Amino acid sequence: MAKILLLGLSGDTGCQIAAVGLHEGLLNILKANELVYAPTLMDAKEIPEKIDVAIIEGGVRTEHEVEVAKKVRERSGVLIALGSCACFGGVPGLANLQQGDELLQRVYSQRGTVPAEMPTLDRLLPKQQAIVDYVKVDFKIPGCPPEMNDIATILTTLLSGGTPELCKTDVCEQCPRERIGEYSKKLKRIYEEVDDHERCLLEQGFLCMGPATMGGCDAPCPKAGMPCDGCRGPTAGNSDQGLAMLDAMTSLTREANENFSLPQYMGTLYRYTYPSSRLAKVLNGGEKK
Amino acid sequence: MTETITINPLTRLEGTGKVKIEVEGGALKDLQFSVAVGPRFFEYLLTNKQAEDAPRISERICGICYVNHHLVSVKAVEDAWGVQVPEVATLLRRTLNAASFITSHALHLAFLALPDLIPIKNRNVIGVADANPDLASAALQLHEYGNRVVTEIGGRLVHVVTSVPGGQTKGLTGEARYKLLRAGRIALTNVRKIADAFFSIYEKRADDPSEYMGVETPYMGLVTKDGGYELYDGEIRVKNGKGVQLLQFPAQDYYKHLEETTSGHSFTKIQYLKDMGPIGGLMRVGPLARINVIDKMQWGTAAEYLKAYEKIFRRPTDDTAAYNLARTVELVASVDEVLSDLGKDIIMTERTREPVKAKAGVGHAFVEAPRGLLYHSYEIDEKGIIKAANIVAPTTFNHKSIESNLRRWAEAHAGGFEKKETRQDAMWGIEKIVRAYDPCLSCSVHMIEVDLSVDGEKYSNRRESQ
Repeated sequence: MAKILLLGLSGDTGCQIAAVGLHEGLLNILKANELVYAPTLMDAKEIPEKIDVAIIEGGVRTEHEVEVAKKVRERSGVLIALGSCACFGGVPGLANLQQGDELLQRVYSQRGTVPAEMPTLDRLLPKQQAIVDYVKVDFKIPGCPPEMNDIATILTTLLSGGTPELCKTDVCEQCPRERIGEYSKKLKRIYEEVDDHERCLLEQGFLCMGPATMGGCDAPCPKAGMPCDGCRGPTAGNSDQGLAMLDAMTSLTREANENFSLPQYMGTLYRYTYPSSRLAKVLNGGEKK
Repeated sequence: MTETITINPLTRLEGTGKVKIEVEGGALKDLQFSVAVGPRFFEYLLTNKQAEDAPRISERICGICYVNHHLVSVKAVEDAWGVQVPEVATLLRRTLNAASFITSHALHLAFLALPDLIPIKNRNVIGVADANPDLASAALQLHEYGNRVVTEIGGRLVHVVTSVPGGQTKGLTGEARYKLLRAGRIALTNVRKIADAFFSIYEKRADDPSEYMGVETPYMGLVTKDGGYELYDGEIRVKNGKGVQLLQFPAQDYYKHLEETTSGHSFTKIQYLKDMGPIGGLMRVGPLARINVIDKMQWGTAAEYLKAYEKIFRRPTDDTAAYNLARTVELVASVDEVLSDLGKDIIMTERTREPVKAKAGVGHAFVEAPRGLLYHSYEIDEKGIIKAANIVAPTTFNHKSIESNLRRWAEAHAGGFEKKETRQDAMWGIEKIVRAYDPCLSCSVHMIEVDLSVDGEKYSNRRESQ
């Protein structure tokens, strides 16, 4: 009977919703073990003194969240970062391109807003970071949200004393779209043209993050007519998803690459991973805490 | 001696919130409901991004109403670009939006609201399942059905992907439509089971206006052209609790009628109707508001339950107790709408989107989310890059009205907070009101903590779980 904790920090609860989506799978895991702290599923109490497996969703944005992450780490045998916010900083990490005070000014003083009192930035950290930037994490389950199967398999493996493994390939591996080795002469935006559903999106000139993104998701986005937006983070062994994608883009035609601009595509290349990217570290002048 | 009671945290998502209550000499001294949204700055992080990415970025605001953010976002971009989408795309989106109501309302009613309405020993998912296995199973099946529709049309569950300026990237196959329609018959049986259970609870409930109390606010929600129930398009109607229609306007006229301000104790912006000023113009949105503003329900089953609702509550009403029954009627309506939409042959049109052109402009859009009206607005440049964004979530609209509601209740029950033997009940009363508004799934019953300190002695509502 392992003691399990499930907790959300600065995120949108989507990962916990995905975990709850396991329905019977989750119930079976919970029946065989003991859920000791999970505010979304049961009465909130104090974080228990001893936890075997802690699962944390969301990134870290406030001092309070740093304290919580540290407390959970101290009391846990195994700590799992659940989802791309916990693993890489996630979508809210895109705000790291700007500083906190300036952000507040912008959000709270635009057209239509009659400024009265300004909210105070009490204990807000200057940047959104991944949990891994503050505490040691034993296992990362990326994805926005993670695949239910991943959650189930990894939990079951961990609880039975095994070492789980994540997918070693990229998203393209499971994508049914065909590659014929011919590339578009133009980099296209998805609304500009209706894609050929049978062919690789990248070849057609749509910036699909598939080649730079960890697979195992069964490629639902390209299957539904949308380019992969990289929600599972970099492929195994790769630390910078955006750079990996730039690398993959060298296969595009010269003409297509000519209308590429980094500022415009920052939200595509680094949508989920900017805080933990090597690029962010370079721009911040090295490691930050 | 002033006693300070803090309820913290109320939630995440649409607000890491807390309630602070000060009672002195048997009277309420002050009450503050702060929505301390851990600011994730979505409005900022949308700027300088490609407009077509907004639906996929902004839905990360909420893991529960992601469908609604995805849809309102694409609508706002299309409004800025002057894009008309094919009829099939509109129909797919309407179905998707309605399906998100099935999922959200089923869970809230069966697992979060129920313990407030009937005595249940363990106030959590397992407790509800033990006490009412039939109801719990109907709710879970219904939740599953909503998710199936979302996955089929949205391409994926939790963070859908298929809405793009110009239409939908994926249509329905004949097989998928057939399966969803067939499973829909079971969904209809399940929704009746749940609705009947809630109506029978409400029929037996003593009419006690002091249980939740109300607050006289304007109500704001979408309606169809002829005053029917509407979740995706239509116009915004504002009505008061006496039934007087105050306004009706299209999304583009938003700034003509609403104004925003800020508050020092909260990260949430405050919205009010300009004509009625910063106090009288504070409105309510969500299930009660939607049921209050409509003239009728256009689908058979929902119309039947709306009639039953009118036997229990006046319509419109200011009584917050009606929120959960209004939500029940809405649960029925969302199943009705999904089945009605899937039944229309136009949903099988093969070409679900057309190429469009980006242009400079400002776009506004509203959709109804389970918790109320949701608004996105973007300023986009000629290259299709977002230059400014404004997002108003349902809790932003409701925030001050929830505070007024709580204040009124706390004024009437101030003595209850002072006496030790009634303190638990009083705190429970506050929580019940907050939950009636369904601030969020994750801010469920069990996330709400009330801490009370009297003369150095600590009290807490946090109960031990089983």
